[in-house]
Amino acid sequence: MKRQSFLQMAGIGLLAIPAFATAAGNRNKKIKRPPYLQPGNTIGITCPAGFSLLETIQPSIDLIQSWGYQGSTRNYHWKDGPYIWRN
Amino acid sequence: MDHTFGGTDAERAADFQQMMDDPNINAILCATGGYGAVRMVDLLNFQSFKQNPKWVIGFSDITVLHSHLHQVVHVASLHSKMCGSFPKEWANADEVQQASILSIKDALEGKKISYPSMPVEHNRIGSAKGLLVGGNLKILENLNGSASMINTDGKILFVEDVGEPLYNIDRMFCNLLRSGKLAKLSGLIVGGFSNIKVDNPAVPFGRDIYTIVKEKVAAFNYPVCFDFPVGHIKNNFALKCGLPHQLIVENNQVQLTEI
Repeated sequence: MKRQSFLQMAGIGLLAIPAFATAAGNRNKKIKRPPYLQPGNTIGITCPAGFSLLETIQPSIDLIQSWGYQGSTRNYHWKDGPYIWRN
Repeated sequence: MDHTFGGTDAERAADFQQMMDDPNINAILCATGGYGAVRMVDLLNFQSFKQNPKWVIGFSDITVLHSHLHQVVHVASLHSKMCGSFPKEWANADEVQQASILSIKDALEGKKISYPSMPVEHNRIGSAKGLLVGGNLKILENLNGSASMINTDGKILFVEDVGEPLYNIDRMFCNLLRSGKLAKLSGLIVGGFSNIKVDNPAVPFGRDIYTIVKEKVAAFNYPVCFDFPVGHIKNNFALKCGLPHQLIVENNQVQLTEI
């Protein structure tokens, strides 16, 4: 249920622009370049490896916000569940 | 919660999966490294992500994801500092720290990368073009032999590491050499090897990082540069893994440029 509310809360923002391929120099497979960010885009913060703490990442959240992006975090280590911040 | 991990393997994979698949999330910033990406990477499904890729950002243990994204998913990604390295007070951060962090913003917004590096007497002169790949040396050694390991042929490889004794750094380079990962490079970038552990002060290893690398690449002809601003160091600039770059190593200048 937490996940559902997270999805609803995160449910604003722009759709990702389809990436185009950059073929140069790769003989194996074309490497796709993700779309570059636009103002208002959302950056998700998560912990695929070690844990982090909200207080540790707060300076990065503040700075990214000052760059004009929104963000959302998910990490099971944060006991209060998903944390969303908005401009 | 699972001890040092940011959740159980299944939880971390579910978090990451959701961020990959949620169309309202445009980039995924890994909060920290540590250890654990290799335990969850095979739980991920990249089907939707392949169609709508987004920048995955991080370094160190996140090299697992960069390597897998390059070799298996065929999507570019951003090797850079993570949340814990952002200065607590931006105004109090020194110039290099600010520049390293701002390089993430520039890279994500589409600015082409172009970084100078210090000319070092051990550098090997030359010019190279190729896709930029790499990351943490320990992780590359760990991935070697798995599906996630990069085919380095024709590419510019960068490596960095922290807290390893010299003999172990040597061992890791031996792994890359003996598995053919150094043979057909277009160029080699050696980043920071910081906080090198002293294993036994009475019997030094007798080779520094320059000698270790020079021994391993002696049979090849591509350019090599040392002390590049990438690694577990303050000057750790954002690098776009998987995109074409040019490396120029001259006596009086070194430059890595996105092309």
